[in-house]
Amino acid sequence: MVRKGILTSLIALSTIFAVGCWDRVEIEKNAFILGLGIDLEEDNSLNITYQVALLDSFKGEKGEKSKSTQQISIKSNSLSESRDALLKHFGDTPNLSHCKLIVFGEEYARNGIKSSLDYLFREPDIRRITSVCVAKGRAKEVLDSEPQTAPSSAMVIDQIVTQNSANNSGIFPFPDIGYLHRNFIRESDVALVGINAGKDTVEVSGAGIFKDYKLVGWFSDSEVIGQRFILGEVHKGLLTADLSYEMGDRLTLNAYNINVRTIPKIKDGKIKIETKVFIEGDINEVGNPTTKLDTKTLLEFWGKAVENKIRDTVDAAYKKGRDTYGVDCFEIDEKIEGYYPKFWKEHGKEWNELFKTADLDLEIKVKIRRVGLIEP
Amino acid sequence: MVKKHDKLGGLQYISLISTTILGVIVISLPKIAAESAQEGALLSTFLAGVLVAIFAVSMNILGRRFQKKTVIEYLVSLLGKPLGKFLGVILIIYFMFSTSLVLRGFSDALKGLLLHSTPLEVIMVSMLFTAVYLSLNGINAIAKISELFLPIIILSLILVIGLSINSFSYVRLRPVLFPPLWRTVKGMPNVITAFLGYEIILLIIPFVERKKADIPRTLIGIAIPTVLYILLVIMAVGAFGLRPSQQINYPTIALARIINFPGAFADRFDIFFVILWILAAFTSVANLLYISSLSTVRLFGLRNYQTFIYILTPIVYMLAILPQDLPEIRKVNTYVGYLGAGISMLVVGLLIFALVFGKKEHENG
Repeated sequence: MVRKGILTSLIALSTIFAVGCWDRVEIEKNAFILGLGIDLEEDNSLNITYQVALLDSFKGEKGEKSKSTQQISIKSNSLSESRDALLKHFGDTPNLSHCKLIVFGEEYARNGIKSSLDYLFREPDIRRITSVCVAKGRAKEVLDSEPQTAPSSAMVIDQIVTQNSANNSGIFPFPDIGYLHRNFIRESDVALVGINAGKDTVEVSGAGIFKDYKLVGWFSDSEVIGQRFILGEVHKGLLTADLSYEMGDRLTLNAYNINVRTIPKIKDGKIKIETKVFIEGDINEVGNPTTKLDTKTLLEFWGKAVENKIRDTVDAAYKKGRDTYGVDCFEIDEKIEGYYPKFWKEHGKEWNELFKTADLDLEIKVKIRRVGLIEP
Repeated sequence: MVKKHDKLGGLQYISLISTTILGVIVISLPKIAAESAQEGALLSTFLAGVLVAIFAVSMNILGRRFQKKTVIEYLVSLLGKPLGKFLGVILIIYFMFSTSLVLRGFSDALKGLLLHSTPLEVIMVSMLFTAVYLSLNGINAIAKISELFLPIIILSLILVIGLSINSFSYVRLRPVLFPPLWRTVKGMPNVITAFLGYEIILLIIPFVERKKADIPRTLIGIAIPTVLYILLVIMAVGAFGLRPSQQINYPTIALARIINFPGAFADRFDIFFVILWILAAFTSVANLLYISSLSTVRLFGLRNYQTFIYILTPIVYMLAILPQDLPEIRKVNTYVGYLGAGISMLVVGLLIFALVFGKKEHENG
């Protein structure tokens, strides 16, 4: 009897202590933040823009399209303080757990993004797969943009960089907090997706090059393709080559299988980056389809043309990173550490200097498998 | 209804060992391994598993020589009353500290990850009460819960490992594939703390069917956490790199957080994982609390372990709440780890002693 009494009291006590009551927030009482933008003000303070979802507009009911997000900008010294200040703007609880995008404004990025990274890495609500990009202009403009195809600009950009980058090799594929954190700990340089924003359009465009976490320059779309080849982060997509009018004018190859293997080699203290590329693809479009050559010769020629184009693209990206900015945003340091851990232990600190002497050795093979429904 | 004197089956024996080991530390193991063994993270996890397997098999053999007795009683048989009782007390202290560490580790992690506003004490008391409720029902209930939860715990970890494979990079893993030996050995004492709890073998053998508590089953019980730990280290280092793995506090949760399902379904997979991880922590706390009280009862030669659960609960709570901050928790963890290693080595010593002097108690003896 006594035992039953004790058990009953224990169960009763457990219900009183039911964990979660302290943290319970009704779903409609959450202010879900979809995007977070960081700009630099003239007085060197930060301007943090939060894109807050207006939940009613996400219900999917038919009718006139209503505004689905509200942007709130807060002048602050740090991200934590701005989040605290957010409580002055609405009665709901700010919730970052579904934040899709972090945007750095161009000026802030040029000044250095290090000051805000700690919060982004430490805050438990922010996930490692939250996309990160750099605006060509102000971050606020990116979040203020109202694309008609989706409820929020943050969601559109997130979808472009996470999903479309698999099919379009011009979109930089390393978009997230995890990528930033990994490289930050290793003291490596990075590149981040570039964004152009209009009033009702957003466009992913090239990539911002960061040296010591300060924006120093930009990769064009074609240089992003080159960078992706060195990173080994390109698996399929359209590749083009410019030809003489007689040989087809302009060729578009739908590369459905791209296999890249980058391995560093160190011989007598000299570093060489060996990148082997194998591509299989089908002809997608030819500018001038009235060429007179036989199919076999033509396919070989076109294959070589695509190989040369890729070589130029990769070289341009590598030279821009290495020679123009001295930035290893190709994760070559990580590969050296992986393949030559002992060398890295001894020379890792001198990487910036060593990288300037590292040559790229490209071996590219393109196989055109099919030509579509008509003969070349 | 389960009869009180039912003996435990082989699967229950395996589950008890595995679920006691697989506890709170599952979420931070890759960090512990990467931090303490650095390039030796992978090898030291494997070697720690092998060493623990050797200890566990020794405990099993010793336990079967004294079929009807727990470690507390056969320590007295082997070493005489004063020394045997003294070591029994040390063992009880070790079990109680282990329970409190698991409890505190769980509560701290849950507060940081999920329940930011809930007071730490409330999380601890809730978990402790639930564990008390299970432990009061005895070894059969605990074994059944372990048997039920083990597949769920394994599945949740396999899902985290399997679904985060997209982020895995062989290049990032390479530094830990060719480790320097001394680093590996240096890291092992810390990595072994992740296996804390396998000492449950010392107490549960009398409750298991005689033929079921054999060496292969003991090895399976240790192999399950060892394989999962190895896979977790491989995946964390492959996904984040060695140095970032040292800096991320809960790499397994971080792995769950990089999983992204297309569409709205399971947008936050980590929440599902944390919920399942609570089961792992719960079985650890309940099992350890039970063996703490069981060993205390056996030390005093009494029968009713339930009273001691009530007595030990506030002590375990106090031990868990005492460390003021993270460094203090880590300090206690290290000392308890050393104590566990000492106990394991003592058991191996005792086994050799028992084998040499041929002291064996038969079922009727």
